[in-house]
Amino acid sequence: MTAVEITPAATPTLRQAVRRLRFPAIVAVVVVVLALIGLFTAGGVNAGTPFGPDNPAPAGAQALRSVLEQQGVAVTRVSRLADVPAGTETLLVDDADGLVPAAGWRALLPRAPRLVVVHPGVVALGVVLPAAREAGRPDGTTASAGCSDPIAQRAGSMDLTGVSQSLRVIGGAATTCYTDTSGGGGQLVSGTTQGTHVVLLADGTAFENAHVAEDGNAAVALNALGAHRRLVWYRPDPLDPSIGGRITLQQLTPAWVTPLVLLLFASGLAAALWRGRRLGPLVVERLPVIVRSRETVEGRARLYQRTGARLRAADALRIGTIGRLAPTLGLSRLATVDEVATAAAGALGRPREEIRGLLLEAEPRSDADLVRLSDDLVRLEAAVTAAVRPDAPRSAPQNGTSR
Amino acid sequence: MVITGRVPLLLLVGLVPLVGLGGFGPAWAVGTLLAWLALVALLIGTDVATAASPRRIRVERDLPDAVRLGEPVRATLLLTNAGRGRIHGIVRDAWTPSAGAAPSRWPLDLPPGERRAFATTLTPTRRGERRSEQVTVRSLGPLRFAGRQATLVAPAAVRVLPPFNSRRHLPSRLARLRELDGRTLLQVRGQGTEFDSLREYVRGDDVRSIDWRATARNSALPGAGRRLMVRTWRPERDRRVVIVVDSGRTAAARIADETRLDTAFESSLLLTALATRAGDRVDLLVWDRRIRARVHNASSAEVLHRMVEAMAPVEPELLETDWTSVPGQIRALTSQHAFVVLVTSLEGAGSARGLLTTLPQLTSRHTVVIASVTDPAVVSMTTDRRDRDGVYLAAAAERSLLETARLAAAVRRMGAEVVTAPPEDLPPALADRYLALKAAGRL
Repeated sequence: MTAVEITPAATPTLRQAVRRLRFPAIVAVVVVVLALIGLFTAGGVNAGTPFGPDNPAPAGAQALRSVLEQQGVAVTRVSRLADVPAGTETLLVDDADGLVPAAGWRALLPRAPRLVVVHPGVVALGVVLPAAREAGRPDGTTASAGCSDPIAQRAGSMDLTGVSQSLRVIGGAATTCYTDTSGGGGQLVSGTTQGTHVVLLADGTAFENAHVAEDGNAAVALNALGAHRRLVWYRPDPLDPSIGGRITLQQLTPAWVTPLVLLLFASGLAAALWRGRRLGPLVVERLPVIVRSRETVEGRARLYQRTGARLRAADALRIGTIGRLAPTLGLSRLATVDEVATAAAGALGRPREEIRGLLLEAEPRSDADLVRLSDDLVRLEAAVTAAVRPDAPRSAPQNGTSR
Repeated sequence: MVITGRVPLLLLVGLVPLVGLGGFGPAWAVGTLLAWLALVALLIGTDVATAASPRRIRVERDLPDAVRLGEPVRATLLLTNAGRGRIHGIVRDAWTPSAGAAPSRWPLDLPPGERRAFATTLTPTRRGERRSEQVTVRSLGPLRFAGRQATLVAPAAVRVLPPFNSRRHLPSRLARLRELDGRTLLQVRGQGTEFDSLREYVRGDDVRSIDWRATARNSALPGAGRRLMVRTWRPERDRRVVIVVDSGRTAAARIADETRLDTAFESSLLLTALATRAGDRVDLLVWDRRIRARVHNASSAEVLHRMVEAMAPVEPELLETDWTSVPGQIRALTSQHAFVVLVTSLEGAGSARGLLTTLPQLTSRHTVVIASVTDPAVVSMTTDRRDRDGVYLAAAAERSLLETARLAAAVRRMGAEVVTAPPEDLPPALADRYLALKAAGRL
């Protein structure tokens, strides 16, 4: 069998497609790599958990945890209330969202001889140190110790940049340190409740990675947390049932639901690919211009109507009527209006002035006048046609189409 | 690469093992999902790899060069499998929509080394060149899950000629032409009428055409008796007819579902057919600002054919027609006195100004007829005066009719003739005017 000459294909072969896509692919890879490098070097776009012990972002608290561990303090992270061990030496509770109920605080209080609370809420204050109250944003950017608490004594002054919370003590035996310039509230409050030494840090912002190195902030935190060899860092989990967390839908659904949704999605995607694949490229059709011939006439009519050119419109109608009447009455095409009016009056037996007025003189003052005039002209034409040629059918007014 | 509808179905079948095995735990569920996806991917890959190549095909075509608009034509696509595998799938011939191809895709089952024919009927809906650039072949694998697709470059074109619907008017006009031929008397013996022959007088001949000298000579012949001889005339022959079709802005207007240009082409074709039979020579010029089509010095046998071929691809341009160059173009076509037909529109003084300024140059040398399409819709607008809008519309229509009438009068004063008619009546009206001028010997 001799080789048959095959028809060349417009579709690129796999090799051609790869060659064609090589440059865009390289560019895409370079862009992705650069983006990843940027992501890692910039320390992440996501701020992560605020005051999280593993969060290296400006709002995290990894610096504090690392220094504590370097100083020989064993930090244990806990997220469930039940996991907080009973024999804890120092217990840090970071409950900025106010998740732990009063009963939870009552359960926490006896578990450690030293309880440090960051961001204490109203509920927490009511249990762990009833004398303390929330006192709002402190004035000024620095605060000096101004108290006898050994923590503050050793640390010196504090930087208050970004801090939005402070505490004050009303009655009761508790020490307030780092009171702001207006004397409203302090950053550090310590006291003793049911035998537990309670230290309240009004706002964790001062001890986040971004601010912990300022003034004595680091010292305050380290002094508060590093008193013992072991520290339990409790950060409540919103899903923890023991603090009132609910069972989520995710926990109730069977394990195969997510893969099932993915499989349905894949099936839908395959269906889209199946239906969306064209059998060859689109065909281009060059379409001709379409211009409707009556557009110019309609445009002129609207122009007459909008500008209220009634006389002009009436004249156009009259000229048409006169042009058709003249041959009907046996006059020449060049007959004057007077001649046509006279002849028409004679044919109809109507006063000449009336017809002359209709054909020449009447001036329409409103649209209703114009319509009336138009109707009169049509009637006149029909009457003249009927009078001159009684046997002729009432033909529509029409200009000769072929001459 | 393509996939078929079996792929989404197969993926859906995977729900059964997923629900069955997924109950054992999240790892089982994810594992089942991945395994099923891998299975489907494997099947697709196998099918693509084993599908016959859609590129190893030779495409041939069998179709006519030209077709009249409105007439169906059969086009055949021939595919030869030059590869080793049996191609099973679908093939599509990419005709433009206005080619009216039905069907345009066929199921394909092509064993290696064999050739199959796929017939389609083209019913073009527009004049001009209708093309098909490619043939797309989709070849499916043995499992019919997936396959390969390639578009083959196989250009084809069919030229769609003007329909020449007005040829139904031709027999009656040819009969009138024959009546002119050999007539004893022409009302006006113009310079173009030619002496044809002498024949014996028969009852009914005009007595004024009796040639007394010939009668006398004839009576002198022995045995001839006393017979009266009459002179017969025939219409002038070998005149030049130049048809100039305006393809500019105004030709794009659509009147009664036909553009002015199409009507102009119909009129030109009827006039050409008639004039060619009458022994005249016809030249065509389609013009706006440049020559869009030109037929010059065609023999009478092929002039009609060349004309439809030339007209086929022309579409109206949205340009103002340049009339000042037209006399020069006509001079290039013929140096003699000619019957010049300008097929354009007489509507509005603005668009006709160029024509009016050029017209005297033409009328001084040639017999000029301007053929123009009128819009029956405008005439009917003057009678519909039911409400205020209708009255204004009627006034505007009267105004435009008046302008046309004035333009026609101006054209007549310049020595040209005017033929105006609605689209379907223009071709016979123009032919009649031609016959009238021919009978009068004014060509």
